[in-house]
Amino acid sequence: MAMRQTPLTCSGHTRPVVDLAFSGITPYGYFLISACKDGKPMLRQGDTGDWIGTFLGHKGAVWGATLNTDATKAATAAADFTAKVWDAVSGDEVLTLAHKHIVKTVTFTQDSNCLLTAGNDKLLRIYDLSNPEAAPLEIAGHTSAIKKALWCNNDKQILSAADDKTIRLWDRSSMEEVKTLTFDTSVSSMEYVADGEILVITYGKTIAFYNALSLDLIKTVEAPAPINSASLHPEKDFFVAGGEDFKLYKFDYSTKEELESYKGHFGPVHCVRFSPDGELYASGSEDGTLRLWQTAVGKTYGLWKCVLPEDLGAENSEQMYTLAPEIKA
Amino acid sequence: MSGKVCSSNSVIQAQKLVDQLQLEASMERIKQISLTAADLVRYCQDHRRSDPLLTGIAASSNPFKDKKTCVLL
Repeated sequence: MAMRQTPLTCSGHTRPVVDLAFSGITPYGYFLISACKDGKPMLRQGDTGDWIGTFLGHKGAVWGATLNTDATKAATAAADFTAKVWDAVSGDEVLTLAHKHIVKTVTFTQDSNCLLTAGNDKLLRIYDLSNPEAAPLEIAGHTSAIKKALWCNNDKQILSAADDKTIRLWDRSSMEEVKTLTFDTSVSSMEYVADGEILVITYGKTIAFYNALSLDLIKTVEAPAPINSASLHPEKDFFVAGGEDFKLYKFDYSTKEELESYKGHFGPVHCVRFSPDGELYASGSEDGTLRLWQTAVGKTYGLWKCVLPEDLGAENSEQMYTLAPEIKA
Repeated sequence: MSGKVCSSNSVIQAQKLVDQLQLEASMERIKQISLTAADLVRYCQDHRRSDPLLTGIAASSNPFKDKKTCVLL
């Protein structure tokens, strides 16, 4: 039976949403930040999608956004040639880091002390946030614009994906390239799962899983349409992917079987990420919205409440469960 | 004389401003849209009887009812 689910639609952005990131689980729940071409990244409550605040300051499209683990700091990468660090509690801009070209990606180390940035200047930069005045460490090597850079192996190594169709693994202390993966086509996205050291890469219609330490291929899965982003569930039983056909796909990680697909977005899906507890996944689209989808459709979680057929009266009796985001009083 | 009128006008204006601000300050504001949305839904359901969009209105008082053709006697 084909599943249907009503996602939580988060509106507010006025241009395409190009990146999103979840924080870790904090005593206040978990949070979500979205990067948008309208230059105004937004912070939202992760399980309800409630808007908390907008970070104002960038003068160009924001290409990358991230939160630190306890959601106290945010960092954004923008087309105004700067990366900014923000206080996620007050919304104040804490630091502006000037670059020589469009900055595409930002990420904190686990202790939030260092920030890795990269972009169209083809350089990876490491900033020490306790000494921001100091010049960042720079790692050169990529021959075209870097799309995504991530810390891996307990922040001892860096993974970067660029338009030169390579993914490179770098050692942080030696600043040297350790390994390179070359593809026939540009990689559209990259996600790193620390627990298990898995790298999720998308290119064309393929979602590929690699060992993040050795860069050995684990498996590849083909999707029905070109995929822009994919995310692996924290328990590694599912992964989700979205792309150019506007749909979200959910696959079984072990069997590679396509389990569910959902329509909802009105434009290509640019980014999809699982929440830290794996109960939902968020997608950002060209249509300017974020949508939150349940992993286990039918479960009561967050704003979703399971409504059984007898409670609905004249509803279609063929549906076993109807899920509407039934808001708790 | 006109000076006195002007100043009483500005006092009236200032008083109106203060009243407006007090009204705004006393409003209950909910930060999360999910709670506000629930509140709106509950309000609409509680007031469904008096909601013409939900319960409809008598055809006689409906200004938008379909016009019948006229018959010339």
